[in-house]
Amino acid sequence: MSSNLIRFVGNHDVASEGKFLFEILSQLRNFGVGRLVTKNEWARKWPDSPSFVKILRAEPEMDRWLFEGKVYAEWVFRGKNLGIYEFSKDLNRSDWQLVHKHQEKSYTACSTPMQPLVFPDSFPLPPLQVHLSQKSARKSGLDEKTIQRRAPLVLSIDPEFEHLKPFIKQETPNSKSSSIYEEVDRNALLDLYGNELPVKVEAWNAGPAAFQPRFNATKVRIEEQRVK
Amino acid sequence: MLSCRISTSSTARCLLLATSQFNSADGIQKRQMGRRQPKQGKPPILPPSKKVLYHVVHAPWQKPEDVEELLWRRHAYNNAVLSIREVFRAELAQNASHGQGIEAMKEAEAVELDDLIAENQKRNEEKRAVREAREDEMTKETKRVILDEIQVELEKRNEEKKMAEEEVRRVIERSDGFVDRQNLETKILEALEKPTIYDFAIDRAGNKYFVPEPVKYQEGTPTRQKGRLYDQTLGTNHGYVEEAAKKEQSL
Repeated sequence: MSSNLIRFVGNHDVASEGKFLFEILSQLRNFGVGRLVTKNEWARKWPDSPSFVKILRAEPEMDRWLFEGKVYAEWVFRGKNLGIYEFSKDLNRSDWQLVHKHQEKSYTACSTPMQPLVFPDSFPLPPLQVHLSQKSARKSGLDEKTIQRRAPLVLSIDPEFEHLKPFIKQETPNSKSSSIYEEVDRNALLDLYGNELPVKVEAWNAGPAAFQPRFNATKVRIEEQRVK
Repeated sequence: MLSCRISTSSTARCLLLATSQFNSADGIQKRQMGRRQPKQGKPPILPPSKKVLYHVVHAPWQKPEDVEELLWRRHAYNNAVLSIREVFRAELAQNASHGQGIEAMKEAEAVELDDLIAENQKRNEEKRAVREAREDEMTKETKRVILDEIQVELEKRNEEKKMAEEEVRRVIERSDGFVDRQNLETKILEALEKPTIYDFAIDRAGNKYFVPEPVKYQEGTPTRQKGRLYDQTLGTNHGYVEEAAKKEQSL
């Protein structure tokens, strides 16, 4: 096999230093039930707080590439037990790593678990908004003093962080200011992304980031091969 | 990686939350005002074509500081925007309950439009009346002027006609032997009886020589030859003063 014939396309995949999940599980006894598996991504982002997954049940579809299937496991994310989750999407990343049995204890020991993410429960309204409300209050005869300068804050949580919802709290802020950015804890938000920040931030729509996959790459490949 | 939360009681039941790979229509609007439009050519539901399948797109580099700032500020911004949308919704609901909602505004606007149209119609009517009066006036004035001009013109023509008639009468009076309807018949008969013959030769003495001799009623067929009928040298047989005098006497 000469290397001239092989052409690598794509950017360097950061999630290529491990193995596929089913690649690991299919080589273990009983499909790895009871074993701990980690993702390298978590280890890179939060090296201080270990995250791992304890397999409870694995149902691979045994396709050619061992991509499809369902794995039910207990997810401990950054030292916090999130409960039983189903891992069935995006298993085509070779990012998984098995934790050896003799290393399990030392691996799971965590001294700095994830802290709850605290948001303020109210935010300052824009001054123009307040001004217009006061104006309309004056027009309709209501008392100006009743116009609120702050409004309750509704959180917009991306699907990426849905699993952290139990740890996201809202409390009254200690110091209130006129800017929404000053009331939010910058470091806590960046902690969501860990040590490995993304490379770019494009223009975004207001609201939770939504992604609707239109086609299944595996199915497309199967269709292509069937056609051939 | 997207994973789904399962109730701790049973592992068999699975609740698929969040975005799933199944094509369930959420009805969430994904494209909003700020969104860049997708490239033309194919609907977005199709898988990528062979041409673009392994085409690597390198994102333009952004400064890490900028990325960091944008990353955390985005959360604060999204929270604020969603909250203020709720504020607006509450405001709209309150307005609607007070009767200042959108429907009420629309109705008020419709009523106002009707009023304005009615007012405009009234104004139109008034203007129409005034315009009609003015135009009547103008029409009368124009008619009068035109009639006056016609009058003047007609009088002028009458005058000219009279003058022309006068002139013609004078000329007729001055003239001799004017033919009018009364003496037309007599004049015609007279002309027929005594035609003027111009076909003669004349000498210095004033003697006229008619060749051929004119006759009143032609007998026979005249010859074709008109000129040089019988070549005669004038002044040999004719031309004597006595001959001319004799001729006059016989006539």
